[in-house]
Amino acid sequence: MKYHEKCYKIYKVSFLNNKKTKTKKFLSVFAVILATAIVVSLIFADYISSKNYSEKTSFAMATISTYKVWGDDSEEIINQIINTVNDVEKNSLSKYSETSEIYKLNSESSAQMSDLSISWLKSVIDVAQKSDGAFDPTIGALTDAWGIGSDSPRVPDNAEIKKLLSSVDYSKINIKENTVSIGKSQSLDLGAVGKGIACDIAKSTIEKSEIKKAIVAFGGSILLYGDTFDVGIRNPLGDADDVLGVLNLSEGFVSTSGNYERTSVIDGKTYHHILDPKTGCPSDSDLLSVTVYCDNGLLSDALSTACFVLGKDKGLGLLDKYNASGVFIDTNKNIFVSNELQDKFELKDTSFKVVE
Amino acid sequence: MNKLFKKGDFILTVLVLIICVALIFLPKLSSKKLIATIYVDGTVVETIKLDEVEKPYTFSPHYNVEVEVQKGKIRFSKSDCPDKLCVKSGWLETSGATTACLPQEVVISVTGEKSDFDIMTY
Repeated sequence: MKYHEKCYKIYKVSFLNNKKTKTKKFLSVFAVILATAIVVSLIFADYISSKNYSEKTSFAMATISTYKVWGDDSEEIINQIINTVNDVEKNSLSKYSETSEIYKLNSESSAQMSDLSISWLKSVIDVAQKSDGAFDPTIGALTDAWGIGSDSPRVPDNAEIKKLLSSVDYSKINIKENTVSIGKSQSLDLGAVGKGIACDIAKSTIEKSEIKKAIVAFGGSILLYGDTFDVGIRNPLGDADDVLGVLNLSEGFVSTSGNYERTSVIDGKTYHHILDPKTGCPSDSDLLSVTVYCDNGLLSDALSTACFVLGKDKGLGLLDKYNASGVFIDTNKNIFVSNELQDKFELKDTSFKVVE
Repeated sequence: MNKLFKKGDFILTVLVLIICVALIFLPKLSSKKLIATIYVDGTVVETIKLDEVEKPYTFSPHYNVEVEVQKGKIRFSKSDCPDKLCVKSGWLETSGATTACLPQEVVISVTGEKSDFDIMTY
């Protein structure tokens, strides 16, 4: 027999004519197809599941912003948030961009502002009122005069501080429909709540999408969305990666104000950047830092600043008015945790003490 | 043993599937999770998760020094120091990589990740 005829005969005998081996052939072909399908779907599962989660680090609101978003289109949503925040910074909040509402307000003492900007302004004025001026958005000129954290920090003399203090007065902000006006020598700065506002923007962007779970942070201001997360509180006496405790928090906003965020050493003395609107000097409340948790980004940011200036006792009273809660860390390394947060706080650095 | 499925067939199929699955997951195991820590004058001023960086950017952790960040790597891009050794060090992209600009007292150090929290507030 010729070689090819031999092959065909073997083929016929072993596969085509035998029922048992027909089934075996069918099964082996099926197994190969199944294996290929499993392999291919495992490869694509990796691709698909990576489409279901995105992480990104970027720069926005003059700080590092971090995005962790779960769901399809997570990458697009992140880009949307970044674009919206950059737009708001440029056109509403910036003190330097000529297209900014704040810039126009400060240069002409009067400006038309958008509904959204007006709502932010009203929130900020509300915190100023309820904190009895411990947080004041008209403190900008004084902050600039000190320049803490900039290239040219300085200690203004008493006369200069007194003069600048005369224009620090939130009650002089006048809002009539969409027209805002301030005193001639006044300067409005919403930068102090810029990171909190960015978190609010992130939330409203996410709410309009299909995303169900996300963490978005601008500097130390954080949006927690759709789940419960562990938030590390930075040790105010340690390095930037040093965590003294962890808060386990459900949806909401977190912001921290601390004496370590922006400092300058002038003539051997360290000054921090949070000024007390009453004294015109860096606040002196025995606190190293305050972390605030509440249901609004702008508020969390404004309240953390106000509480840092007010100190623990008045700060707690202020937080009550907003149904917010916080963690206060003082210069004696004592930690006071609001009642609502006590079972959610876990101390990691035992050189600090949690007190009642 | 069943004539239809020989023992050898079974073992071979399982082996092939194991190899395929391993090949798929191998890249995940060696995923780097790099963190760059920037120190100024001995104090940590910034920590950056290098894997999460999408768009390259630069910033100045200290006067006269510029740092450039890209996905998975970081370097000194500009410095006013006389010898510019920091800039000449080039990109840092592996765990343990460190470089410094001594006159300006800025150090960049890259490490692998460790954390028991999802995000930090400061």
